Amino acid sequence: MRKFPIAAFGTLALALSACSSEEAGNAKDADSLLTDDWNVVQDAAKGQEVNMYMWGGSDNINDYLDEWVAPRMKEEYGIELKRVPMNDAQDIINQLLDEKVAGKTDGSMDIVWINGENFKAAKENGLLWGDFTGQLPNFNDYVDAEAPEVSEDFGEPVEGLEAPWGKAQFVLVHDENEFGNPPRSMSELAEWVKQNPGQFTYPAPPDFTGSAFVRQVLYETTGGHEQYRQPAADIEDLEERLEPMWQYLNSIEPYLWREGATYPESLAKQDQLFASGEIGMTMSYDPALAASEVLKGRFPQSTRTYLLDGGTLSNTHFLSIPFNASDKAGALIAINELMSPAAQTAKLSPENWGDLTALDLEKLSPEQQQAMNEVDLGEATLSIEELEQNRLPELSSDYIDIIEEGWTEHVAKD
Amino acid sequence: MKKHPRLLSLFLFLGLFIFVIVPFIPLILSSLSFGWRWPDVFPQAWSLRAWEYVVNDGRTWQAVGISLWIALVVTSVNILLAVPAANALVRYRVRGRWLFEAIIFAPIIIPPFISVMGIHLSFLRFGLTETVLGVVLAHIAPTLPYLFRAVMISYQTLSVDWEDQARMLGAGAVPRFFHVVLPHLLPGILAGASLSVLISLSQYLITFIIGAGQVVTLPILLFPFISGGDPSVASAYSLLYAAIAIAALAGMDAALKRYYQTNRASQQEKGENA
Amino acid sequence: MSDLRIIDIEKRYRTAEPKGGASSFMLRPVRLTIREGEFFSLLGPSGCGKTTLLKMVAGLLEADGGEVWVGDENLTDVPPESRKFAMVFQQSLLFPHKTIEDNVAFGLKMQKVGKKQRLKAAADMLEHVGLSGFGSRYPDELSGGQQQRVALARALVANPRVLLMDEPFSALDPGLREEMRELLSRIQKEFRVTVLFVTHDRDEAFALSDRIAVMGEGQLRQVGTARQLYERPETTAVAAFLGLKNILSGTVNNGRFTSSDKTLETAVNGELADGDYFLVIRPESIRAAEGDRPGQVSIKGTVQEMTYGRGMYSLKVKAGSQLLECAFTTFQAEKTAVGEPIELLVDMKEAWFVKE
Repeated sequence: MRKFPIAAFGTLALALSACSSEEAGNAKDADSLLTDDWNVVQDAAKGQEVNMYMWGGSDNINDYLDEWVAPRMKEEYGIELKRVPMNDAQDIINQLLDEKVAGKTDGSMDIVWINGENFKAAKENGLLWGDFTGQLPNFNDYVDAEAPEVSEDFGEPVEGLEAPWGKAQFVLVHDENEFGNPPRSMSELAEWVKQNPGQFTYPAPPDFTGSAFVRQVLYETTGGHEQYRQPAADIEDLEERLEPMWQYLNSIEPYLWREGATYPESLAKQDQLFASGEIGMTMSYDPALAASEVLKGRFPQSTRTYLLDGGTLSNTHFLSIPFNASDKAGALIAINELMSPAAQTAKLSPENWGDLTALDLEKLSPEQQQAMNEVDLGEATLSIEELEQNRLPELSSDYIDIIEEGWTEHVAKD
Repeated sequence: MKKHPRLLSLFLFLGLFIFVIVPFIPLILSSLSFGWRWPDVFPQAWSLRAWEYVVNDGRTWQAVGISLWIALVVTSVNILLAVPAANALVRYRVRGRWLFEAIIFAPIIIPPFISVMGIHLSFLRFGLTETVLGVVLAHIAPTLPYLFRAVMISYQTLSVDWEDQARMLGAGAVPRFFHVVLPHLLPGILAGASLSVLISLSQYLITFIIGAGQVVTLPILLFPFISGGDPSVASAYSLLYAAIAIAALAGMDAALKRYYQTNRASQQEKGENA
Repeated sequence: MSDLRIIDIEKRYRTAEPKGGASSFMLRPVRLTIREGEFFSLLGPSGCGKTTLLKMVAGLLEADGGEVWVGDENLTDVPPESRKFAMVFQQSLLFPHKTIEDNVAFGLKMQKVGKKQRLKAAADMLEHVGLSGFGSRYPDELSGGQQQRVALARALVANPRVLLMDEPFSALDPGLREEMRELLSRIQKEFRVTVLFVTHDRDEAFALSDRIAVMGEGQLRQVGTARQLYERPETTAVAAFLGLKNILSGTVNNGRFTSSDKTLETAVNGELADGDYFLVIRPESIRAAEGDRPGQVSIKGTVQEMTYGRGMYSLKVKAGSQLLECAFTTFQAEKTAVGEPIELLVDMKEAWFVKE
């Protein structure tokens, strides 16, 4: 009796895996798309339904894709672009891992929006299709492939596995009417919190933005970012080098919101505190977020963003194609289109999204440059030029892990 | 029936108001607010932005439809599974009965997503992921225990005498079930089915893992907004979700009442004709 | 003739060892024939196996041996719903979501009788039990007695071959119980239906039955009419269960009976062989002595207790080691009092010897 169901399942599983191995043949053909003429790719893409898996928690971003991008894809290329809302990019990686183990070759994820650790995990586990960026005309025409923010993703070499879609940069946010002259360095900040106790805090790492703030402290208090270009394991005295950072964070702690007894658990919570006037400053890894919050009426009109004198962290977010995407041709066309100057200009507008362009401004035609510069970023957002001139590269994820664990150990527990 | 003293009904009303109505107020305000800033008790400006987004997004209504459809199918399957299973467990001495019950009730104690992680690979191999069928199957684990429990309790209160009585009046197994057993189980089935519908409607993780983004239910749309997304849209979605859940329950309740009423009415008609 | 024949029906305990002897029987084999139209009662204390027997006749309980026949039809392997029997339980078990009318018509509905016809039959039957006009109500709107009447109507409407009744009135108040007895008695005669009636109540069995089977400890003890059982009990157990308390042990020697405490000595009919006997004296056959009379034996004793009930006095008289129960008329009882000595006369024609 008991053996029967197992045997039955076994046979069923065999039958099903037989089906899927037949389809594997099609997947091999898809690899020629990496070298085919672009016209061939366009023809192959016609009529395909491209599923784009991405975080779905912003009505602005959702609307940009559903109402700006998708109709154009349909009209110009006959591609149905379908946005699939995700809660966390981590879920995409878990899903793909299982699909890889199960041998699923007809995956439904055609485009995924990832970067940083998720990219690293995907790359290490072979979850991404291949070196495709060289196929994209818009990548070749408008992107500086050699620039570190394009060739590396949080220290991980990109190797053409993902195409840059936009950029983010760390900014501090304040209300101009409340605090006219905000601190522009960590030493100024230390003074500022003493004069304005309870007005500053940062989200507890591993919150993405809070963790970025701590790295910002690291750069300034331990003598710059260049020393961290090598793998963390190669630095023998890393603990001593990090020590000033912990000292700094502990020195400001008594003057933070709620005297540092607790930290907001997420940026959303911190923004809520700022929006309700409980704290005087917040921060963002999205330089246009404040402007969009002003548009929604959550942040006051007098909200402004600004940079630190020594520059701020920046990173790039990317689009990639999973190994088992069913509509790879459509995915190539869609990603290329998302990188077009027109789409990037629209994306820059805070009404749509307010995301910085991934393109190299100097490679654009004068008209394209003008169009981009004419986008009204809102008073709260800094100019593209100012942001570009003050970029600092990100750390690789091995450092990030060490810092996030260290923060709990050195700051939260004390 | 005793009449409740007035004071008691006042307290009941207040309790209902505080625990049921009041939590909705901030949600309603938040979904309609434009720049609701401290220390204002009420928003200074209003905006339909969140609602416009929620209502105009075609996916919203699709998701509502799919959510309800899945909840309905899951609950129907649960009823078909729970009634015979409860019958067998209550009426017959089943060997290893504790094991059977333990397996059915396990999902209440063990978080369902643990088992779902496990079945995800199998579902992938059988091609059940990304399908409504797969999601329905996955929803059965966390919902069946509640329906099963409700039906089992109903069964336990149904004395064998009732069925014996019907037998002695010439009723075979099928009429016995429909004339005696089912009417007795119905309130229990409805209670269990309400839970089953609510739990199915609220599944995020299971739907997400098995549906892999291709089966978009309301929680799939709602969750990204709750965790760090736009609070106004999250509020609007939450209200919509609550409305759907309440509507589903009210609908089921109305269906049961209608069933009883038409039963009574048709019998009264017969009574007048006779 | 469609007699109900119960042929060696038996039931064993599940848990008992095979060959576990006498104790392994829940019900020892029973053989009974109940004539068509007869009102037959199974009388016994709780746990005597009477309900077990009834349920095996119904088919609700599987017998471990034996057969059930009606006329020349063997019903042993026929499922209960196809035996064309009906049954009334201790609870009325009316289907709560159906009207009274639909409850009564249920049996006909199961026989696929047309709606009009079955509702007509139901209305007629309700009239017979005195509930016409209640058809469109629901069971919870009726009193307990009314509910049991409906249950009776529901059982009879399909014209069953045998009506089985399992203590149907035991949950009712005493007054109501008697009313229901009369109703049942009247209706049974009217419909000439065969009834197999289970009860632990002697009065109920006596009032209703053509014949009674007294049961005890998982077996049939004696079958007969009420009078036969009461006046001629075959064992002291039957006598005791029927409420006969004056049971004197003694011996018969050369045509004379002597009680073991020597309080009573009398001649007996020559038919009795020598040996140990029990003498059963019914309370009604004892009177206070008003001079000797032939055929009567006198006993001397002391009045210990007097209780009044329904026009008669019940006296307990201590005589030797025996406590005799006597039924006195008010007139007789007024002549004595508790604590006074009394001389009793026993009518030996009414006395009954039981050989153990």
